[in-house]
Amino acid sequence: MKKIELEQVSKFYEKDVPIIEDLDLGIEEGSFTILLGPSGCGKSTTLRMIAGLEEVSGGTLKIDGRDMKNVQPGDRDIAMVFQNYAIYPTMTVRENIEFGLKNAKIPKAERRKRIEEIGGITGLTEYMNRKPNALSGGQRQRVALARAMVKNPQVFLMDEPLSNLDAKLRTQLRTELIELHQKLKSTFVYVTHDQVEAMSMGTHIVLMRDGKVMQQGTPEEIYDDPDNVFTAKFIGTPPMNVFRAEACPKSWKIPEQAHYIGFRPEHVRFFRPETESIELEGRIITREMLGAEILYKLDTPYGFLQARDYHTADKHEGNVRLWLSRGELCFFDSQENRIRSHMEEY
Amino acid sequence: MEIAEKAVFTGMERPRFKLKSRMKAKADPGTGAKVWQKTLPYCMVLPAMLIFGVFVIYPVFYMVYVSFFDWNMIADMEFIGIENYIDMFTDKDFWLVLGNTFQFMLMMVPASIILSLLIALYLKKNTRINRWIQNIMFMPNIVSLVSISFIWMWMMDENRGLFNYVLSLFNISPVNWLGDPDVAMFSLVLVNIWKSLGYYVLIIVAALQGIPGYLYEAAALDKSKPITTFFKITLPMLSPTLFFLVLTGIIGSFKTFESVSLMTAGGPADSTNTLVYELYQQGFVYYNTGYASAMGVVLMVLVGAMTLVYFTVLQKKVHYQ
Amino acid sequence: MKKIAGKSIRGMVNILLILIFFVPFYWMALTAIKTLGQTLQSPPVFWVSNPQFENFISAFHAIDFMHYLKNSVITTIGVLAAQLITIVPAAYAFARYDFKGKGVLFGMVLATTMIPAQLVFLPVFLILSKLHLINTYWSLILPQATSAFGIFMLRQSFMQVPKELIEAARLDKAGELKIMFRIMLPMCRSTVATLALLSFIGCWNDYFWAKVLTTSDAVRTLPVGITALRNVDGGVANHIVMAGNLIMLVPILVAFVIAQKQILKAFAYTGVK
Repeated sequence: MKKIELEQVSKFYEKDVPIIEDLDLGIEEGSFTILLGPSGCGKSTTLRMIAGLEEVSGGTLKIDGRDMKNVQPGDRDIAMVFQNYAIYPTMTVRENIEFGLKNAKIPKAERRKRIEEIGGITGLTEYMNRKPNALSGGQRQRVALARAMVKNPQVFLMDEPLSNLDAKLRTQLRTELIELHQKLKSTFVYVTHDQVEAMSMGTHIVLMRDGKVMQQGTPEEIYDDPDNVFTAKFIGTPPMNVFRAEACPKSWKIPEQAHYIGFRPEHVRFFRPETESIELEGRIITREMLGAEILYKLDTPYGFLQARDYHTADKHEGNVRLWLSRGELCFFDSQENRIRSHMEEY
Repeated sequence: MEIAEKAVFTGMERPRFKLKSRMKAKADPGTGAKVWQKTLPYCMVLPAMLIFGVFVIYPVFYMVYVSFFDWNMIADMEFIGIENYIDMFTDKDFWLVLGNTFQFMLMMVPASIILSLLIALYLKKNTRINRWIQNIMFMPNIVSLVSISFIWMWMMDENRGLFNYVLSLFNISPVNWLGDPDVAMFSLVLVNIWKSLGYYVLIIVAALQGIPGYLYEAAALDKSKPITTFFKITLPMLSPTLFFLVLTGIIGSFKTFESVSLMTAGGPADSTNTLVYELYQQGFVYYNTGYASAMGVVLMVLVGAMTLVYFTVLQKKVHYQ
Repeated sequence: MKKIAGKSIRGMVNILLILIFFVPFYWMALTAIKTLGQTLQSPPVFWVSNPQFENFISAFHAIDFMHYLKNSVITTIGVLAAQLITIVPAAYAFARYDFKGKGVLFGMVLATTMIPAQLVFLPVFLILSKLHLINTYWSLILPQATSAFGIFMLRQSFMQVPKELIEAARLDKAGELKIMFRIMLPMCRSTVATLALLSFIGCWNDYFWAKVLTTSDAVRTLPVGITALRNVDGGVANHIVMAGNLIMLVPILVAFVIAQKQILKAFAYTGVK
């Protein structure tokens, strides 16, 4: 069932500068949906429209099938976690968590019970009477989470909540958020520009650019089966290698409409595979040792490419031969959209 | 591949989107109670705007209006065109007063800027003793000009004053600090410098401490001499602050009233009579309301010109960042 | 060797600076506890062993001190209250709302900083006398009832409240009033306190408005009233003059001692606009 539906939604501040145009989007109940995209792609605006912090300029936005047009943010049964935590600095942790409950006129006994419970879950019990400035970054983020959770909302909205934390804490909280989502079973909508975060946490990813959805699906679908060059290059570190078709030799048997050829770095092989493959020569420019794997940057007659290899005894140096398995190539047309018809040819 | 990548990335980083979403960071109002939402801001600024309107903006226009009339506050107003201005510009007392005002400004501003710059350079290190000295220097700024005037009048007393006593220790004959037409203006300037120096130093020290240390480190690595460093780094970096202080100093000198009124009453022989004091005398002692208004207009032009200079130059440059 | 010389030169300059700025105050305080005879003595005495604290009482009686004091207190409190009413909402509206004419109105606020009191006191007097307010407290309170600098500074402070905080409050079902009083104002209370302090100092010390806008003793404040002390005893009673001024200085000194850091910061702020 769709929890949140956007139909033909658009957003502009001045008539001629749309941020989002005719956006159609459905967010599944109980999903962990990630709105992913580069800065300025409209993902935050979309989230803020769902929250009611931005007005919807055109189209309809429904939560639980109900049009949200005249519903105040406080009445949407949602909670939001902000990038900079947005916890009230003049209130103690307890007051921060309690503020929304008080405004919703929840009786005192009930409030106390809920706060205690949440304090236990988030590990904030002993900090309840502290002011935010006496807390660490991770603790502040937990206060923000606690403040959202205590309201028992049906939908959690999160706007890059982890980007202000250091790398180690970020990974830790990532796991905690996944667990939290599994425990609460409510709908999470999570905005980020970090594709690693998106891939690791989301059950569903919506990749956006310039106010449009470029592709959506499970992390696997998005990674394995990109719809366009943008998706191919946005997802994955390093991104998919993309060659211009016109630079490549005829012998590669590229479909006629194809303008770009893409392949993932891990699909570049240093040995001839069993399957039908293309062979090319390249010169290794750099070699990055990442531990279990090694990244190479290579110069080939058709452009630069990156290759990922497992860390094994043999080290590649200088000029090397490379093979690409034909079945793993992606072709894109002049509009940078995926050509899928060639699949049948083989 | 690199070309394709570039194309994709320039597509993504369209700055106008970034800018827009940040600019419009304001919460947009919910739909309910729209009328209230629309009038609320006006209600909130109303009291302040009312005060500004009645006691600052309207008076300016009213003053210009009155300056074209012969009036003594009591009798009927009589329109006389620009006669007040003609009277004023042909009156040598006016030119004397204007001259005094400029004399005061020309002594006051350079002296306070140079002195405060030197002292600020001396005190720029953020140490406890330096902060202490700054605090003491700042004291006169928070003390009423009435008290300051009395203290200095007492110290400048011809017969029993501290100053002449100190001079006598060096066998210098007593000076009539406030009673000698040749000295009185200088004495007033002295008091005003003493009062405002702490403020100037405070601001310059703040500006000095705001100059990033790496500039000096870079200069040191380039083997720059202290003098060169001062003229090539310190002074240019300070120039916006100094410029601000010069302009506020000039405007401040145009406005001088308290010390004149209390210490010399414009005397002796009008040697310390400045524009604002004369304006006060004309308006409140001789009741030449129209004439005084005309003087007020002149003062306004002077202050306005200075402000204009300030903002023009400020827009042009004087900012290094 | 060079280092020691440098240090002692610094020490001497330090002492000189402190002397220049401290001696006048010392001289004031010392004179205030001298006898008339001691003030006239030559060479002057730099220390008194028999402080004349009754000088303060004499200053109280020489003029109607209590009357001026009362006027000063009423005027200062009145101005502070009026500024609170005018500055806080205006700064808040300029910081947080978008409304038609906002730019023009705010431009007007900034423009008034270029029109000092010394420029418009004559027309202001005329306006007040037309309103029959001369020699009432209103005449002293109204012209100082708001401050462009205050609006500017407080607006800045309101604008520094992250917008996410307000949004979080809206998601927490807080109304406009609650956002203003529970979130915004508590976050800006130090700015409000600093502004109040500056206004207090300015208003308590004010001589100009109190001098030009009054024609009788009815509402004259201490800075004006105290000038009459110099006529006591034929104009030689400097010990009484100093004693009176010292009393007037006490509240300011207390404020300075309590909040000297904030005061300096606020003044420094005026230089970086």
